[in-house]
Amino acid sequence: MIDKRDAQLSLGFLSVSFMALFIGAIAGLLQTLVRSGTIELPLSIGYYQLLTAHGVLLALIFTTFFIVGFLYAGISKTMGALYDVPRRTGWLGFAMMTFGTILATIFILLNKATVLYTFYAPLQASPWFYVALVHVVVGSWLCAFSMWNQYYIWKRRTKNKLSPLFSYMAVMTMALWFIATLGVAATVILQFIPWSIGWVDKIDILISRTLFWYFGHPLVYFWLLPAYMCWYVVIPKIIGGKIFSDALARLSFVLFLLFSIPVGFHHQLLEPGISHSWKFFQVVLTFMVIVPSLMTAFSMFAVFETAGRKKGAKGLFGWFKVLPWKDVRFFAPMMGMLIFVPAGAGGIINASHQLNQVIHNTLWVTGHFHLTVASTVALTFFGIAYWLVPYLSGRTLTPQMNRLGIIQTILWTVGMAFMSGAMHLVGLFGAPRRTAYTTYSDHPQALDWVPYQAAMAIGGTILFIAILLLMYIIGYLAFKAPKGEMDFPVGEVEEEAAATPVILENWKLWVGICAALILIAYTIPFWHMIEHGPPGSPGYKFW
Amino acid sequence: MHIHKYEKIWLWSGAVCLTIFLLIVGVSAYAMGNQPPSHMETIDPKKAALTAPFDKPALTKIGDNEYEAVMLAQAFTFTPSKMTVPKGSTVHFKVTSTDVVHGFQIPATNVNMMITPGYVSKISHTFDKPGKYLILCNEYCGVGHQVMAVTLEVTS
Amino acid sequence: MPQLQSEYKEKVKVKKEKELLGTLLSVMGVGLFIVLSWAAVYLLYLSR
Repeated sequence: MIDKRDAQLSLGFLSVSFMALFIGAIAGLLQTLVRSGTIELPLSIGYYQLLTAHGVLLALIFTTFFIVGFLYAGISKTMGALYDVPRRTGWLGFAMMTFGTILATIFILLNKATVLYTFYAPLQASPWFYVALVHVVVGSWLCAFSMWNQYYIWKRRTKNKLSPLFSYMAVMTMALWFIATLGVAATVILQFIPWSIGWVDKIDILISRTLFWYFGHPLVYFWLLPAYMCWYVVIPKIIGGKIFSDALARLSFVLFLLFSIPVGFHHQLLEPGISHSWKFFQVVLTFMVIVPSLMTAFSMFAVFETAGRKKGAKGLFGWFKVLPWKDVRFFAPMMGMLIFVPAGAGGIINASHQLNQVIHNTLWVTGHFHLTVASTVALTFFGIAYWLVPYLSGRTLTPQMNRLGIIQTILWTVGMAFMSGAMHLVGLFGAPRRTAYTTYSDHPQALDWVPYQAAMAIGGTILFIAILLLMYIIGYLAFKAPKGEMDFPVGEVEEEAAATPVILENWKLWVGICAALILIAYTIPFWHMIEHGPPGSPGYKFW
Repeated sequence: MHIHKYEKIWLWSGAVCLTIFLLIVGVSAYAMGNQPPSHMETIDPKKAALTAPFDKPALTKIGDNEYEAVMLAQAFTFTPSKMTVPKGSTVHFKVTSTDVVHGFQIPATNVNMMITPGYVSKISHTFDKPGKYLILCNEYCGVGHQVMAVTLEVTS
Repeated sequence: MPQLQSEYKEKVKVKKEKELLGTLLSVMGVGLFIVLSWAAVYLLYLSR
């Protein structure tokens, strides 16, 4: 068991995370029902209001709170109890982030911020919505500073010993987050807040979009990296194996830091004002960030095969059968990993320059990130929560809860197969995303989409049942399960594995290269936007 | 750093495949002109509806089987709202927004682009099959976003 | 003694290289899936 005070800090983050997940999921269920034409909302709630709540609470709040809570627990486990300053800073971050979350939720529910979670200008929300977002981001920075501070003190006290793999990855994840959120903080603080208060009357749209997507793509890696931490560090221990290679795991995280940021243009491939050459350059960089995921895929299979063979599995694929399929701590993340195969394939397609014209802003994209963040990442997080919540509350994961967890995972996978599968297909036919129920005056093409939207609602309903089950399991594990000691699984490295090169912990070097790549990819096109930008836009409230 | 022989094979195959993908889209973009819409022309968004050619949004014949569609996107419609061209026509769309960000998409074609206020967006398409094509907004633009669509009829 | 050790290491290495054939085939399967999906959407792009 880690230090009780650290466990409380971690549980604080996890509880806000699961509350956000529950509210966000209710919004999600209603959206799929509305879009299929099954129900109509009462006049007081709008479809786009739900969509804003769903996006903000799940993509930003659920993920960030869960990640910070998980990282604190793992840091305390692998580097020892948090020192006083990092712990206090962590609580301060928690307070700021929670305040921001509540404020944002209130303004979304008041229908003062129906701008979706991407809040594209010149749709203009209440200034309080932007102030709320700043609190979430700055609060998360305090958590980043606190984790780095812990790492720094630990390094000094251990006379520069190689950091534990989990903590190294946590420091890297927060470095990625900090560098990425500088962009969104800049646009919110320098552009949106003064403009929504009325200090300035115009906003430069392309610059705000570019700063948003400078943040928006590394955001998805910020979700993914903690899932990878579970796969690299936790899973080997659960399946009775060893970490395939400490050095390669660290190298993949270095590559994520370098290549996940200077790639935001691949979300802006179809917009004017950015030349196609800079777009193509960032497309090439985007393809570089695929490499560490290829490395991860190999590492995972290698861990499975090595562990299986140690257990005596024979044949080419005998090791696959001896994996602990009945252990939810393995099963949920494993389903996440398998779903990452189509999710990754879809991602490569999305980023392929002009191929983006086939799928941009269609339901395909919604289907895509429901495979990445809402399946690969979410299932891994659920798999973590099933042991982390009882571990932190001094309870145990009982066999019944384990079984329910497996059912929950299956429900999630099936529900998502329906919903995301239908979204991918109907997206290829051209059905737009982020659109309430419509048949475009009974246009035959749009009528053809309706059955797929019904399949989305079936999937959405199954997913909601899975969320209810998850809430029950998590509640039981936190408050009702029998008291006892759980294990925080932390894998060990293979004995014969080569030593980890010190250069991988040279932060100045990696952050330096990261900054250089960002400057190379963004300086000229960004300067062009400023120099040749059109007059700005006033705000609009079209909801 | 030791890398397993099979992992090297895997990473090299991956790198080769990714390079081939990039070569395919790169050649298609740079040698055959299939670039994603990236027009650089700007316009004052407040005055867009008063600035030529957007003061008279219309479909104009500019050559054999060639048309230019100058269009305005505004919440929650496109102008002009009805257009007709014969089969086999190439239409050059030229679109800007007078208010917020909109999308411009013709389902089941490669016509798909963002309409950012302050910028002029351009895309061309040849309509080989007759039918009533939907032109819809695929970026959330407000409470009536789901009705923002017009049609382009291609006659046989 | 050092020689013995390096021989031992060689053996371990050779053994490990053989062990991961299932891994290689699995990831290659993943790769094939990616290539096929990409090609499918590329063909769709060309046909439109």
